Amino acid sequence: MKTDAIIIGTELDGLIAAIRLREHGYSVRMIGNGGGSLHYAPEGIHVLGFSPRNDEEIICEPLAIISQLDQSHPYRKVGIDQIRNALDWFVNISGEIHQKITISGHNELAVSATGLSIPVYGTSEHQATVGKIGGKTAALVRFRGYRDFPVELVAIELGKTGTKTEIVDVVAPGDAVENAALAKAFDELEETDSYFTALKDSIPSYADVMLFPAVMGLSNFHRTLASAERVLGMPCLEVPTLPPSVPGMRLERALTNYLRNGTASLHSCSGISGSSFETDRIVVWDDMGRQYEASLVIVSNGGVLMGGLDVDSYGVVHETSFGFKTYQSEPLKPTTVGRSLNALHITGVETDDALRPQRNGSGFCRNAFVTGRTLPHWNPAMECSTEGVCVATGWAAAENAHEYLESLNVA
Amino acid sequence: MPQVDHNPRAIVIGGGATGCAVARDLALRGFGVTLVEFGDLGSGTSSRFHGMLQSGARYAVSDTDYAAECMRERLIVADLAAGVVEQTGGLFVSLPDDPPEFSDRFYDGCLSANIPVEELDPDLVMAREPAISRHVLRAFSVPDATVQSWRLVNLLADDVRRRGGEILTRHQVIGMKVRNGRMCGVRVTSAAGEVTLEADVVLNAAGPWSARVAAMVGRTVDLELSKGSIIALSHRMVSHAVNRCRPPTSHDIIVPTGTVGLFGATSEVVGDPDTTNVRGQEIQELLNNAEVLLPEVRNYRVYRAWAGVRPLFKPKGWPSEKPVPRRHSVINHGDDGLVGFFTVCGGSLTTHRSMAEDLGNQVCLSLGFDAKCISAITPLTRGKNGHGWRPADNYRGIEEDRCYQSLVCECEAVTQSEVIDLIENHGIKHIHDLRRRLRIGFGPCQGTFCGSRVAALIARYHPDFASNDDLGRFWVERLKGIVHTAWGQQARQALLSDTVYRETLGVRLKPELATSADYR
Repeated sequence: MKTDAIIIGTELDGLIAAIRLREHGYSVRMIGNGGGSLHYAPEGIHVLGFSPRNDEEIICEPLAIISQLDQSHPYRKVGIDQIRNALDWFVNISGEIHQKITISGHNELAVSATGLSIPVYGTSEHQATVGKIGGKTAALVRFRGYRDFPVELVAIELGKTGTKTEIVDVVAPGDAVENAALAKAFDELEETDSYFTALKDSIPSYADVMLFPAVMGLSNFHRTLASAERVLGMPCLEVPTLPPSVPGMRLERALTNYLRNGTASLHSCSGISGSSFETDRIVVWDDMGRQYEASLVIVSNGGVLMGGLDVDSYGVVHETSFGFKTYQSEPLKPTTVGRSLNALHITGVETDDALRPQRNGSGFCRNAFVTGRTLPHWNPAMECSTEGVCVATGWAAAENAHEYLESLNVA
Repeated sequence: MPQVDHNPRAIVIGGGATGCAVARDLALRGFGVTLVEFGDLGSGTSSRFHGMLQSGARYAVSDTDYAAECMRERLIVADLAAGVVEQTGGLFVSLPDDPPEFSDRFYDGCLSANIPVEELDPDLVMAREPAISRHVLRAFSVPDATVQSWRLVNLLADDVRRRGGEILTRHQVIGMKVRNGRMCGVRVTSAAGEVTLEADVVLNAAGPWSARVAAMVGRTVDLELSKGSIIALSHRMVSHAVNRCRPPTSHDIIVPTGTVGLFGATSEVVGDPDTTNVRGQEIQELLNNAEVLLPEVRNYRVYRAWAGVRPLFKPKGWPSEKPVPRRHSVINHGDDGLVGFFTVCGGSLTTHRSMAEDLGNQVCLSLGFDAKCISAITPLTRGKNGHGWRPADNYRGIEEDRCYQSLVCECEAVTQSEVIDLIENHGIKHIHDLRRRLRIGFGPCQGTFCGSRVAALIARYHPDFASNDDLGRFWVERLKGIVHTAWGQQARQALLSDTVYRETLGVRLKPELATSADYR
């Protein structure tokens, strides 16, 4: 069956584009191998934390400096008005899917997995930030046998910024010791109140905030954290852990379910084996031999990080599914660490301002759009801008696709 | 000839394989020994080579005497330190690009050097080594082996400590004490401050840095510093160390060691012993050459690249077109007016013990101290840190203890208790030092996941220690190697590492931190 759109990849940007296209009433099919880069993303919406020109400089008001970015940066292609629309829209969606994000108009400082500060634009309710814990005395939870939360580093760093900490040793339900297993154990815990009551004695009386590793459940974390706050009588916040990120998985799952309820179809495969590209019709074959047909395609396959783009041993970057033209000033050549990583980040599929790629030997496609990490000219790790760019470009691609599909109907 | 009536005191400068062997040799002869190392033990050339314990076959044609020395020493080392030596065996294969007449000279050279050599059927060799070229014309087997050099260096150092010697790491020599034309001590600096150490003799075994050490007292050592770059393939790829059968030059050998296969090495004369940066061009050069021996190499995952500097001794008046000999040399600076100061240089890891023996003999002679070398016949007791280096050893232990969850480094199967033992009982405070001892961060993820786990364990025992800075240095040092081989899956790994460190851990990339001498 032909759909209006095919979306390649299950990244945040693809999910955003799919939901937005569904809102416009189009039929959407997502194909990808699941497990997108949200599994590596700590909690919160990072819009622009550091200046791309000087990564030592923390940015307070990201939207105010979008206009200072290079013309080729995805934010410049989307434009400030669309970025605002996309973020406002995302805040609404986040409430609907019970992953409420709050935006205050400037960056907060989130507590990282080692206790360092990371600028973040949109925060969720239980996310630990410097603003919420500054000047307080925090009880830091260390689950027995759990190795993916470097709690001793968090204690040292928070100590430097004036937050007193006390590490509390705790046994997790079922003695679970891995992120997903811990989240599942908390989700399945029947008597949360009695679990936290048993914990109460080991928490020093002078503590006025609890910091848990961000593994307090995948689907029931609201209930679990509310129970903890009620029993312990203080705010209970989460600090990111090493990947896989449970908060990232929560968001991915909530968006996916929301999309499923909206009757979009999601197909799992491990890759694209071929495609045929015509001006008004795109056919894609997955590596299990299934064929999908649509009027347009949105490529949100996660770029080099997620294997959507290949780098060969000569340093040449390839987009293999459709043969889109990639951006690289010259073959990637190792130089300094910073420059080499930057070259890997900023490569991608070159597009026009409407996020439309070029196929080799022809002009910009009318019926293909590229989003997120697949786009060139931005460095998510350095800028700390991953979710912001994904939301903005996913939303913009859907809007541009909507315009294209409307033009088809008119014709 | 002076006769000493007390047990002499010696200071050894340099904590690589040579320095540790010198310290052990002298300790066994009854010397009081203090070894001074600028960084961590084995952090220089000793750990930056391809890990071969040479049979000497490589030099059988160009330098038969040296080849014979390698063969003798190779047997002794494998006997003394069996736990850190893997008897892989070596193959020399002649490919269509290699000079055909060299094979017969190679065979004869091995015989003259007492290296057991056997010609094999090329078809049999290609069947045994499926990854290598299908165009093997002739093939020879020799008793090459591989050695875990960090473990060897630490075994030697432990032996020195057990015999009353002192090992001072992260101590830098900043000056020498000379009295009446006689060396009588060195001045060192460390985190604890400056101190002068007294001794009867000072022995310079600082490898590529030995010319700098000698220059402190106005003496010259004619070194040729030759940088060699190496790439680490994700699998061992071959079961023997496989060499090209041709005059020894650059990029002609793959060595299976630990969990990886090392291909190398380039060869480039450099001026600065700290030149351990790899150039992008060298990688393509390595790959182009590797493709001849390993046709599919561009499709393999390569974890990282690094370089080490060979300290070759270039005798005065040596013709510039002739390759510098590999054999070591002992310089008695007493011959040019500074009694009690010696330099040992050249040689290789394989001959570290005989270098120490040679130096020890000359030191004893100059002091009139009558003590024979017993380093070849005194067993090296296995150290306390019994971390096996074959992955299977560790997995067996983990199965027995059922401690899957306590793995700190999944790639190299390092458990939490091994890390805690080194931190608690051996005073280790740097992630890098744990890395060298336990192979943490050596595997596919190159420290992406284990770095912060290890930093947290260090912080548990040393809360005053700046762990996030140390973590940043460890990360940058790992990245230095990965960015050179960032294609295919390793390109994704480089970005994943960047994503985890910057977006989740909040560590900012500060390459300047990792250029500090501690992490050379």
